[in-house]
Amino acid sequence: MNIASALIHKKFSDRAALFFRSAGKDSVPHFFKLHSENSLKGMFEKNAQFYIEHGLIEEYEQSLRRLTAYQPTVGVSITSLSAYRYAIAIHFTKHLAEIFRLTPEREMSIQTCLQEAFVNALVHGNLGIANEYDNASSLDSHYERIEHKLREPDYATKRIEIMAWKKADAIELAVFDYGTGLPSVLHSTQNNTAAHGRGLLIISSLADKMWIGDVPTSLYMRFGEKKINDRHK
Amino acid sequence: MDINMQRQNSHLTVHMSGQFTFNDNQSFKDVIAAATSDSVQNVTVDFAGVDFIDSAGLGMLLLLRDNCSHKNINVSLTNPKGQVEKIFSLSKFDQLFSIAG
Repeated sequence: MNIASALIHKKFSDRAALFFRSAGKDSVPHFFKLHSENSLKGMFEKNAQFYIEHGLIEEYEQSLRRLTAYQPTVGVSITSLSAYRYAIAIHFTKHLAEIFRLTPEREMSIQTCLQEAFVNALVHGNLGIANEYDNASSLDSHYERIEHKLREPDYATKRIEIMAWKKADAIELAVFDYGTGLPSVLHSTQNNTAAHGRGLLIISSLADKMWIGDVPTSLYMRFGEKKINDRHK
Repeated sequence: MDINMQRQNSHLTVHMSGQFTFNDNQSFKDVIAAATSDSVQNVTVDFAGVDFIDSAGLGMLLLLRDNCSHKNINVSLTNPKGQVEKIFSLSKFDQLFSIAG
């Protein structure tokens, strides 16, 4: 690392520490750079409350503010580019399984739903791309559109935040993107043979509750509470 | 995801392992290409080694099915387990594919 990079790195850390002290919190989030899938494997052992990928100051501070405001038990903020390259949702769920002592079935449900919400936040939310492929050629075009957008810094640096709360017997999760709102989270298909649009169906089948949060670009899911029709059993 | 393909006469068997997700479109293109190559009549996709699938993976399977049906190539799925079996069930994939094991 040369002197200029070292100064920038120190500047990032100092500002983050100041931000947290001013917010009345003692803990400092864990900042990370993603070089490969392997760097995710040991990352969550830091046991931080927040994990924030290094990036543009304005954008990671925006994430810091949101994470601080919502106070999840554990939260992650990553860029869209990293979201495309690495299976963050899967690694994050493994971490939740340890700290919340999830049953294998609960872990499976959460991992599945989080992956769907996460990809939705990336593709439809931050990148604003609809699923319009119906053959191998248009699937190629779909992924080319994704990669084309990710070559633009404005899209590549857009954040996705995943937050998890332990609430009594339930686990609550939220995925936030920085897209344009509702259409990104309501993508669904009624056509069983369509090659896309199943994400929402899967989430609504596995999660006990699903809803759009107070921020339009947020999807919440709850696991562990009895469903309404089970309450009287 | 790792993919291993074996061809025996007109039958192509695709052994997959790991996680089959949104990130695997490039490698699955090779499966579609191999399945629709000359003189393949049956394709079996073996999920014994797959521990996770997302809706993008389901979509890729449906694209495989569609591409093969244009050439009257039969596609079947075998040995789904755990989360994969659950997602196939939720998505009513038994109505779209022959699923065994």
